[in-house]
Order: sequence, then structure tokens, then C-alpha cells
Amino acid sequence: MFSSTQQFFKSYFVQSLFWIPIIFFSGLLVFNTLPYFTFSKEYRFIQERILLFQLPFYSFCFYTHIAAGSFCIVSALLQFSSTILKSRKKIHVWSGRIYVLVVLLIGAPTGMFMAFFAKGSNMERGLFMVMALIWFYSTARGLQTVLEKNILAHKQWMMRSYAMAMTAVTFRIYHILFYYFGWSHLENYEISLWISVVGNIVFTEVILFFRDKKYIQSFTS
Amino acid sequence: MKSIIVISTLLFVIASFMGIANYVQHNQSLSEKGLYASPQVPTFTSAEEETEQSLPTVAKQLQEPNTKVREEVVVPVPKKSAKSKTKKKEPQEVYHAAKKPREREINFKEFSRAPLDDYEALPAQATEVEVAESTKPTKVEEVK
Repeated sequence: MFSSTQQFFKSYFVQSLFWIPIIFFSGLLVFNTLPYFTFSKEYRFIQERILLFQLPFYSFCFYTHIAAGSFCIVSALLQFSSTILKSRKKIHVWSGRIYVLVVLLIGAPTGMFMAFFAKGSNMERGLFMVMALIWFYSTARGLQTVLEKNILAHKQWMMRSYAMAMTAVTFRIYHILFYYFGWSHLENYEISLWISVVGNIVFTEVILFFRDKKYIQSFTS
Repeated sequence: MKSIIVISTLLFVIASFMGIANYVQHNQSLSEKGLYASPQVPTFTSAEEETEQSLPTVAKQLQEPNTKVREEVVVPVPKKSAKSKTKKKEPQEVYHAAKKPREREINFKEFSRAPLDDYEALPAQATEVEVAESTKPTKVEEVK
């Protein structure tokens, strides 16, 4: 009895260490995105791209992308709760449907469009494009596998999708951390971007590899 | 549900093509305004390069890209300096020399947006006067 209680608290503690920072930073990201919806042009991010914001379609993509991204980050948090999945399955199903629709119809296409105008060199633009592509593909595969009732593959593909959605959060964490290393701004931006994208992919694949014995099959199923 | 995958794939492909088209168009419009490619850059003398002065014409173009009336400062180039081995400054170098990134402070509250670099406002008037005094232009033309 004692051993099982200890194990319960141990796993609970480890999970809390992982999820509490994620919930906090996700909330912070969404909270700080809200001022953009005043549609003011005074923000530094917009000021830096003021010529791009003269393109109506770019402005449209920007605002829909940040709205979709914020929604995805929040709704995805519900999807990973085993309590909701067991006791309130309808919430999981409907939240998942909306997440998939938002990613496939808004988030990934607008992300792909904006990738062409991303800051940095062509390598960084290419990275954003690959990111949008992986986000789109993994979400589409997640939908396809759940329709085929392949729950294991569905979990794996949705974890990959969430990893791409979370690059927005991890990028900012790395960017702030590396700022204290005294690197130049552009150097910091590029390194943070690469580490957040590649790091999230590797981290997810490592978790999947150690959790599921049928890891390799997830790519073919 | 499968139709959603088909529709979204089409949308994704369209977004990609629109990205390419808008990217090309945007670059062309920047070039036309003289902000992106090959702005008019007068030749530097070796003495000017040492002091790293900004260019009045480029600074003016950056500030007022849409103006039709443009002042051109013609700087006499001595034959010696024209033939000298000092390499001509690239347009990008001139642009970055004119717009130096400032020290940035990261505010934790600005977590939502990447703390992207912004540039100090161009000290256009000051540099124009400084350069004009140092180079002593002989002729000022007004071009419509």
C-alpha cells in the first residue's frame, strides 16, 4: 500500500514538474498575445514589419494565425489530461475536433504563408516552412488514425502535432535564456529557433520511443 | 471528415503559392522604392571609409521612400582615390551602417512576442550636415 502511494506521488510530482511550467508559459503566451487584438500598429513586432503589414493579406494571416495559435495551445492542454479523457470524453472529442480544424484550416496554412516573410536567412524561412508542414501533416495523420480507431498511432501523431504548436513557447524560453549569454540578437534568434524546433521534435520522439514498444509502427500505420 | 483533409491540403498548397507570389511581389516593390536592392551609393574615398560616415542620399531614401523630389549630392572623386584599392561598400553594408541595432532589454512581460531587434531612428539630419560639411559638395541637383 505504502509503495503504491509513494509511486503515485512520485509520478504525480514528476508530471507536475513537466506540466506546471508548460501551463504557466502557455498561459503567459496567450495572455500577452491579447493586446494584438486591439489592432494597434504600435507594437514592436508590427513596427519592425510595417511594410509587410501594408499587405492586407499578410495582416489577415497574422491576426488569424495568432488567434488560431493561442486557441491551439490552450485546447491542446485539455487533450493531454487523462482525467478529462476518462470522465469527460465528450470534452476531449469536441476540443480535439476544434483543434484539428483550427490547425488544418487556419494555423498551418497561415503559418506557411507567413514563413516566406520570416525574419532571418533563407535557412530560417525554410525551417518555418518545414515546421508548418510537419504541424499540418502530423495533425492530419492524427485525425486519419483516430478515424481508423488506431488510438496508439493517434496519440503519437497528436503528440508530434502538439510539439510543433509548442515551438512558439519554447522559442521564447530559449530566447530569453540565451539573452543572458550575451549573444548578439540575430545569433540568439537563429539559435533559439533551431533549438526550439529540432529540440521539440527530438524530445517528442525520445518520449515516444521509450513509451511505446510499437514506436516504429506508428510511422506506417 | 476525410473531406476536411482534402480541403485543408488544398488550402495549404494555395497558401504556399500565395506566399511565393506575395514574396516576389513584395521584394519587387521594395526594390522599386530603393529600400531593398541596389540603392544609389556614391563612391567612398579612403578617408571617408576610415571615418565611417553615413551616406546622405541613402539615409534620405530610407526615410522618405515615396518622395518624388530627390536631392542628389554629387561628390567629386579624385582620380587617385577612384583608382585606389579600397573596395566599394556594398548597399547592405551602407544600410546597416546607417541603421545600427541598439542594445536591447528583454522584458519578461513581452514573452508573447519574440524580442525582436529594432533600430534606432536614423540621425538623418545630423549625418547629412556632417557629411555635407566634410565632403563639400560642388553641385546640388533637383531631380523630379
